[in-house]
Amino acid sequence: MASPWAILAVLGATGKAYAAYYEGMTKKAYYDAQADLAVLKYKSKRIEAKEAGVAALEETNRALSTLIAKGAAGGVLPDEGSILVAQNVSLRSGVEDYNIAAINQELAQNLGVIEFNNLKQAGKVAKQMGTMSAIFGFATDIGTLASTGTFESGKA
Amino acid sequence: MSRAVTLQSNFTTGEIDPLLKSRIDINQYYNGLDKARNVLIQPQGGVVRRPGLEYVDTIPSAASPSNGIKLVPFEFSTTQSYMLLFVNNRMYVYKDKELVTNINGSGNDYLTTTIASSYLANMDYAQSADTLIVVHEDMAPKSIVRGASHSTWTISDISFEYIPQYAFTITTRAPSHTLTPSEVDGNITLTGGGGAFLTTDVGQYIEANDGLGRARITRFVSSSEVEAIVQIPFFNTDAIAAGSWYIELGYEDAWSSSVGWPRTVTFHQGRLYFGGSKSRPNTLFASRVARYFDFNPGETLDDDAIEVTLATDSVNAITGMFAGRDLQIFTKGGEFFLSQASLDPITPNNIVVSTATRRGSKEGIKPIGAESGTLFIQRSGKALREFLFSDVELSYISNNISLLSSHLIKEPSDLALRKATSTDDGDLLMIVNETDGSLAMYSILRGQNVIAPSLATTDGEFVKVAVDVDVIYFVIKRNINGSDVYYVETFNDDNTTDSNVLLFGASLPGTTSVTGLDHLEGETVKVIVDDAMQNDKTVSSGGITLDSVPTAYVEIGLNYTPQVKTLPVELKLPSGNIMAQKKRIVEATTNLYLTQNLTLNSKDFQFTAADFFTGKKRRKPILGYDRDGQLEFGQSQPLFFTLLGVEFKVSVGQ
Repeated sequence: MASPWAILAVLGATGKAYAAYYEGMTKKAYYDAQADLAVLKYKSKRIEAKEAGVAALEETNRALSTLIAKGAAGGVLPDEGSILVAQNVSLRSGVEDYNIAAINQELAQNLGVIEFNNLKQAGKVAKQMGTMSAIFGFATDIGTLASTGTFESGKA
Repeated sequence: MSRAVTLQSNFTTGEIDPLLKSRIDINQYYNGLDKARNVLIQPQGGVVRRPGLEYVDTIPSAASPSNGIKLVPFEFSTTQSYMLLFVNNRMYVYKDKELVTNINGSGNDYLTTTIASSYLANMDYAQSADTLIVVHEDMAPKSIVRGASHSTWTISDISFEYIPQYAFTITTRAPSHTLTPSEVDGNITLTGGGGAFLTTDVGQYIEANDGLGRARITRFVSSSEVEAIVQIPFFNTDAIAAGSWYIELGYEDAWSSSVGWPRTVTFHQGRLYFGGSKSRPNTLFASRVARYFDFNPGETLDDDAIEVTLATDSVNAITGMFAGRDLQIFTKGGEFFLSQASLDPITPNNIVVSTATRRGSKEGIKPIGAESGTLFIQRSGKALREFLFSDVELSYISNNISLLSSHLIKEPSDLALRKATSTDDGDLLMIVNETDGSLAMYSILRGQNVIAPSLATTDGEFVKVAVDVDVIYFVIKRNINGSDVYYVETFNDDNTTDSNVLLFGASLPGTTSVTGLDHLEGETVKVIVDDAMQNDKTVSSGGITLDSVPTAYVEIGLNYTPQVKTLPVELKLPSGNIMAQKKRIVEATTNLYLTQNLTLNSKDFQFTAADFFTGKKRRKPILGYDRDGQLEFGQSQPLFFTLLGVEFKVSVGQ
C-alpha cells in the first residue's frame, strides 16, 4: 500500500502541472483579448483616416467654391485663367491630403492585422508553454519522487 | 430804349456748342465764345493767337504716309527724348525737331520695322527704360530698343519665356487602353497600349475620370508611352482601366499667328500687362513680376503671372490701359480698374476687376493721364471724358468734359496732352478730327475749373499729334504744288505762321535771297522780318526774295486766321433778359497785352509796326441793330495778339 506521503506528493505534482497548464491558457486568453482590442483600435484608426480623407475633400470643395465665388465677385470669369489655375492648385493640395488619408487607412489596416497576428501568436505560444510546463513539471516531480524512493514499499 | 455797359472779363469757357446758345442761365455763357478759331485760351482768361507750326521734315512718299502714320514719344532719359514716327515698315526718329539720320550706320534715315501701315491706327505701345513695346492684334509683339547713340535702334519680335495656354475649343479622346502612371506625382511616365498616344498630344492633358489624376503631356516617347508633369496627383500607380481616363485636347498658345496677338500694353507694378488679344479681346494678361516676357501662371504665387477675363454683361474688348493710381482698363463697353486694398500688390489670388462706368472708349486712341484724371474719347467719338477717382463715390467716375463743346469733336483720330510748362499756360489737350483735319484744343487748369476749348485749322489737315516732353509734334497733310504731301511740324510759341521756316543767328541770310523753302513751292507765303510784315511772296524754285535784309530774324510761312466771336450779348436787365430784343453794341473797349495786330468786325485797330502794344483800344461808334449783338475779332496780319477782355456798351431796342 502506497505511503500517504507518496499519494500527497503525486497529488501535489498533479496540481502543480494543472496550475502551469491553466496559466498558459490564461495567458492565451489574455493575448486573444489583446488581439481583438488591437483589431478594434486599428479599425478606429482606419475610420479616423477615412474621415480625414473625407474632410480633406470637403475642405477642398469649400476652397474651390470660395475661389469660384471670389473670382466671380472680382468681375472675372471663374472658370479660366488664374482663377482656374488656383482651383487646380487647391484641388492638387486636396487630392494630396486625400491620398495621404487613404495611405493612412491602409497603414492602419495593415498594422491592425500585424498586431492581431502577433498577439494571437503570443497567445498560442503561451498556451503551448503552459501545457509543456505542466507536462514537464509533472514528469520532473514524479521522477524526483521516484528517485527519492517515495514509491518503495515499507518506506516512509 | 436803354443802355448798359457790360464786361467780358475772361474767355475761360472757350467756344461753346451752338446748342447752348439759349443757356443764358448758366455762368459759363458769360465766359464763353461763339467762335474761338486758331486761338488758345489762357488759363488766366485771355485769348491768344495759336502758336505757328514750324516745319521739321517731309515724310518721303516712298514711306506711303497716306496709308497710315503713328507718332510715338520715347523718353530715354531726362535729356534725351525722341519722337518716333511709324509709317509702312519704317520708323523715323526725331530729336529736338530734327530728323536723326543714318540709322545704325545703314545710310538710311529710318529703321526697317516690318510694321505694316494697316497696323498703325490701332497699334498700342508702352515704354520701359530703353525699350518700347509695340503691339497689334495681327502682329507679333515687338520690342524696339535704343542703343548707344541717337541713331542706334534695333527692333525684334519679343521672345516669350512662356506664353499662356488656352483651349479655344476643347475636345476629348478616350483611348481603349489602360493607363499606368509610373508615379503618382511629379514628372512621370504614362504607359498605355499601342496607339494610345499621338505626337500631337504634347501640351494636352490626360485626366482620370474620377478626378484623381491629371497631367500635362510634355514629351511623346512612343504611341504607348508619354512623359508628363502631374497637375493633380494620381491615386496610386495601379493601371487605370480603359474608359476611365481620357485625353483633353485643344490647348495651344493663347497668342500666335493663327489666333492673334495682344491688343494693348502697359507696365504696372513690375509686370507687363497685355490688355486683350485678337481671340480673347476681354482677357487681361500680366507677366510675372520683373520678368516681363514670362507669362507662366505657375501655382498662382504672388509673383506668378496673372490671367483673368472680364466678366460683365456687355462687350468689353479692351481698347486701352492706363497705369495710374490703379490700373485702369478701358474697353468698348465700359471702364474698369483693378481694385487694391491699401498697398497690397495685385496677385493672381486677389485680383479684382471693378466696374466703374459704362461709357466705352474709342479704339486706337490711347487714354492719357492729365492733372487730375485720365482722358479718353468715348466709344462713339463724340465726347471727351475724364476718368477720375471720386472720394464721394469711392469709385471712378467719367465726367464729360466736352459737354459744352461737343461740336468741336468730330471723328477723333488722335489725342495728345502737353503738360503745363509755365504759369501762363495750362495743360493743353489736342484732339485731331479725322473728318475735316481740324484740331480741337483744350486749355485745362482743373484747379481753377478751366476747360477752355478752341479749334485750329491750317492750310491742309492735321493728321496726327504727339508730345515729346514739351514739344508738340504734328503730321500735317498739305497740298503743295498740286500734290498731297505729309510734313512733320511742331508748335512753336515764337511763330505766327504755319509750315514756317525761322531763320536767325547763324542761319540768318545776309542778303534778300532766301532758299530752303522747297516744301512751300508755289505757295503764297507770309514774311515777317524783325517783328514787321513784308509783302507776301510766292515761293519759286524753293526760294523767295525779301523786301529788305533782316537784322534779327525772318519767319516765312503760310497764313492762318484767328477768329474770336463773342456770344450774343445778354444783360439781364431789371426788366428781364434781352435775348430776343434788337440791340446794338455802341462801343467796345478791348484790353490787350503785347499785341501787334487785331481787327474788330474786320476793321483794324491801329498799332505801330514792330511794336508790342499793351493797354486798351476803343472802337466807336459801332453801327447796326440786330438781335444778336456780337463782336468778332480777327487779324489782318499773322502777328501776335492777346485779348484779355472786352467791355462794351449796349443799346437795347424792342
